[in-house]
Amino acid sequence: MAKMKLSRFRLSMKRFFNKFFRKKKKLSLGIYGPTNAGKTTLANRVSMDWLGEELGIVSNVPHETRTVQTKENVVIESEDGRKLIINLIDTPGIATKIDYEDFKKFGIKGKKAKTRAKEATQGIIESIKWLDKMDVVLVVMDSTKSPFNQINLTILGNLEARKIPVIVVANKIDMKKADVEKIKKAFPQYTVVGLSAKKNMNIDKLYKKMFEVIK
Amino acid sequence: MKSISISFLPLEKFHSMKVSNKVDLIIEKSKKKEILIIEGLLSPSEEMELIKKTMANISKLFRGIEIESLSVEELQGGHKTLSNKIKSKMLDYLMGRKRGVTVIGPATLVKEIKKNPESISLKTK
Repeated sequence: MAKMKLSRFRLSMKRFFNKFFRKKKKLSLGIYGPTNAGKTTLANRVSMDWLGEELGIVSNVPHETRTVQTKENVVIESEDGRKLIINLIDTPGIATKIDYEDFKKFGIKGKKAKTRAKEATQGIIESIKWLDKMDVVLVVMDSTKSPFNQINLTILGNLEARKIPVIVVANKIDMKKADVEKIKKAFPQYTVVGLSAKKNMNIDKLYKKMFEVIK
Repeated sequence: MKSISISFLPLEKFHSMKVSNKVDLIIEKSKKKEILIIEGLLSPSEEMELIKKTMANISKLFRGIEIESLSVEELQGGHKTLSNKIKSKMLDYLMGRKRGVTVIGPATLVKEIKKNPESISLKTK
């Protein structure tokens, strides 16, 4: 416990000095959220916009992203010429359960399903371990689903405890059932941006908010 | 007919336990296919520890957990007045943590635990 407190203290001091002296020019921007919220689709969109290449594979099979994936030195420019240099970090979706039999619905069976489940459990543990390395986090939520789930609350609570700036991304606004207002009402203390990473809707708003949050 | 075991962990016991003991107890109960009701809330860091340990324990028989919690504030439908809010914050402060209820069940038994504005509903498989 004392060791944990000491490492938290070191981390807050590091953040304080970085902010104070503006030494850190490159920020680690993490993309977190539950499974199938569209994290990798968003990471690909950001990566395509500023690097011209994708970051990861997207599919509707849960736990498609099972390892932390990064793109370094992504330079985001604002309309007035300011630059933000980030390491873009896409993380596996956080979940409290993994059932290899669920993969059968998607045609993945037997040993492959079991291997995928094993990799998914390790990916979740890796995601959690990476939290301490983040300078800012985009928490991606599926705006067609209820935001009041324990995973969203756990992620936000942990970021708040670490004093890491957060932007809540209400993804999938192109879908009929999307309800961005519900997410805004659920988390009034956070900056919420409604967008569709898949259909390239409102991504510019996210970049604007990033410049506001990361001052 | 399927029988379901439900265990209850009172606040005094829950509050006095170490994080690792809380996490181990939750996983042990879930592995035994029991539903656990805790008179209290896990802190965000305790929840992350629980997720990590759950993932490390996933197997053919144990496929994870379903978890939902409600704070006292949510159970009462939010703070109606400022004095209620102050009273509630004072009690949280005196008790050293936020008050509420947490429901946890094994994913092999529980299909879904859903949080409604002022209650928690649980569906079994």
